[in-house]
Amino acid sequence: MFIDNSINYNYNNPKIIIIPSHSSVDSMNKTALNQKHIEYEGKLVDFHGWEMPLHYKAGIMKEHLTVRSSVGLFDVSHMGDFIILDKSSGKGFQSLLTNDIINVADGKCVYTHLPDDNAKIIDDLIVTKLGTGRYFCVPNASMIDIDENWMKENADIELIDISSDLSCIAVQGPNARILTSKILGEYINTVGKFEARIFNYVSNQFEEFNSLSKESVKKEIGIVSGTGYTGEDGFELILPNALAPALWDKLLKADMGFGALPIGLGARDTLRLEAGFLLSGQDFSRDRTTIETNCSWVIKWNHEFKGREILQRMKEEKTHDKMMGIVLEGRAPARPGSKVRLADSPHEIVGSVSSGNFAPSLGKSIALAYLERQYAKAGINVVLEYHGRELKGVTTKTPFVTKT
Amino acid sequence: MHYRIWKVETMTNVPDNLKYTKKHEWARIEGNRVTIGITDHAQGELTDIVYIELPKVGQDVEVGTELATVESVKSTSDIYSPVSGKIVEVNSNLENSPGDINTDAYGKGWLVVIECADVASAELMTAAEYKALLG
Repeated sequence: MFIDNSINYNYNNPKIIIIPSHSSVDSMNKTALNQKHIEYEGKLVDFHGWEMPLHYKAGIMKEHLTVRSSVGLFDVSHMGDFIILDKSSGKGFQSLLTNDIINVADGKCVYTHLPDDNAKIIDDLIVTKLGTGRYFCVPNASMIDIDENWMKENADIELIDISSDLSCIAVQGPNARILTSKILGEYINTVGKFEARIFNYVSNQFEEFNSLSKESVKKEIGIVSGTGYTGEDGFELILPNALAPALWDKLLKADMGFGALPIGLGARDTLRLEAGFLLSGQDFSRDRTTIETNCSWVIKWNHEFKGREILQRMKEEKTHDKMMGIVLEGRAPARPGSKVRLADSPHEIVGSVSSGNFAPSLGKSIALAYLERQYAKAGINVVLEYHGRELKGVTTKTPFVTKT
Repeated sequence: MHYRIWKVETMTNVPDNLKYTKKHEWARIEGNRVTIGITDHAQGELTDIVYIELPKVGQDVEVGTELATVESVKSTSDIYSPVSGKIVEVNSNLENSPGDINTDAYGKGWLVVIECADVASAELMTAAEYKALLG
C-alpha cells in the first residue's frame, strides 16, 4: 500500500528524536501552539503549508466522539484575522458579502459567503460587527492572501491583517462552556451563540469593541466568540500568540472529571461533515454558487452585492443543482468525485459527491453531493460509485447530526 | 546548526518472526500457506480503519495485484498481494470490527491466507530490513 510519509519517524529511539533544523518540516508555517502539539503527541502533517496535528494519541475516532460527548480543544490559529473599516464613501465591505452584516447588533457573528462577479464562492467567512463600518473577519487559512487581495480590490475599505499576531483555540462540546468559564470566568457565559465580545486575556475582563486594534492584539486583547465549526456549542478564543500555550494547558489540565482532549484536523473534518458544514476548497472552489449549496439562507436580498443578479436569475429559473446530504447504508465511504446515480435508473448520473467520509457518531458513512435539482429532495434512493464499489444510500437534508 | 527536539509517541512494532514488503504488508509463512496483513506502521499512518474490502475465498491473485482496499477516516488505501496463489481463507471478523487492524495488526488484524506454490521467489524482507526501511 502507498502511505504518504511527509513526516518521517525515527523508530530506533522511541522516546526522542532530534532532527536538524534544515529539514523540510521547518519550511512549514507553525502556530504558537506547535510545541504543545508535540508535547501532546500530535501526529504532525502539512496542511496547506502549515504544520498541524492530524490527530493526537487518542486518534481521530475517539477525538471526534469526545467532542460530541464532552469537550475538545482545537488549534485553529492558522485561520486569518482581519480588521476591516469601511471608508467614508464608496462600496463598503457589505457589497462583497451575500449575508447582511449591517442590520445586526454590535458583536453579532455572521456566517457569509464571499462571491465573485459570477456569484461563484471564493471563500466562506465569519464576520463580526464591531460597530458602524467596523468589522472583524476570519477567512480560511488557505485563502488569507486571496481573500485580502479580492477585498481590497473590490471594495473601498481599509483592511488590517492581524493574522500573524493572533492564535485561536476552539473549545467545542457539551462541556465547553463549563470548562471555559472555569478558566476565564463565569461572565464568559454571557457570550451567546453567534455573539462575540472583546476580551482581555490577562485580566479576564470584557473590553469595548473599539479596544481591538493592531497594537492591542500584540499584548492582551483578543476576542471570545460563541462560534465553532463542529455543530457543538462552544467558543472560539482568539488571543495574542504569547498567551495561547498557557491557556491551552490550563484548559486541558483543568481536571474537571470529564476528560477534555486535544483534537486534530482529522476529527475536525468528520465533525463538520456530520454538521453539514462546507469545506472551502472542497465543497466549493470558485466553481459553485451559494444558491446551489445547502446554505442558501446566507443570501440576504436586502442589499447589493457581487453576483447578486446572477443569483436572482438562478432563483427564478430554478434549474440549478442543489446540495443534499446522503446517508450510505454501510460503513464504506464515498469520497469527493464519486458519481451519484438513481437506484431506480442506474444508468443516469444525477450528481456527484463533494465531501464524503465515515461518520463516527452515526456508525455509517455520509456524503454531501450536488444533485440535479429535480432529485434534490430527501428520501430518494441512490447508488454511489466509488473505487469500483457500488454503495447504496438515501438522500437527506443536512445536518446529519443535530444537537439541541 | 540548531536542533529541535521531537518526541515520538510509541515505537512501531516489527515482530522478528515475520517477513515484510516495501509496501508495508507482513507475511507469516507456514509451509505453502502465507498469512498476510498490514504492519503496525501502516495502521498508524492510516489512522482509524472503518471498512475493509477483502477478496473472496477461491480467488486467484498475482504478485502486485490489488488484494484489498482499506478505508480509514483519513483516506482510501489499496493493499497489494506480495505473493501469487489462491485465497484459501479470509478474515470475515473484520467486517464488524475493522478496528482490529489498528489494535492488533499482527494478530486479530490478519487479512487473508494465500496458498502459494512458490513462496521462495517472493520479494520479502526480513524484520531487520523493514526496520531499516522505516528509518
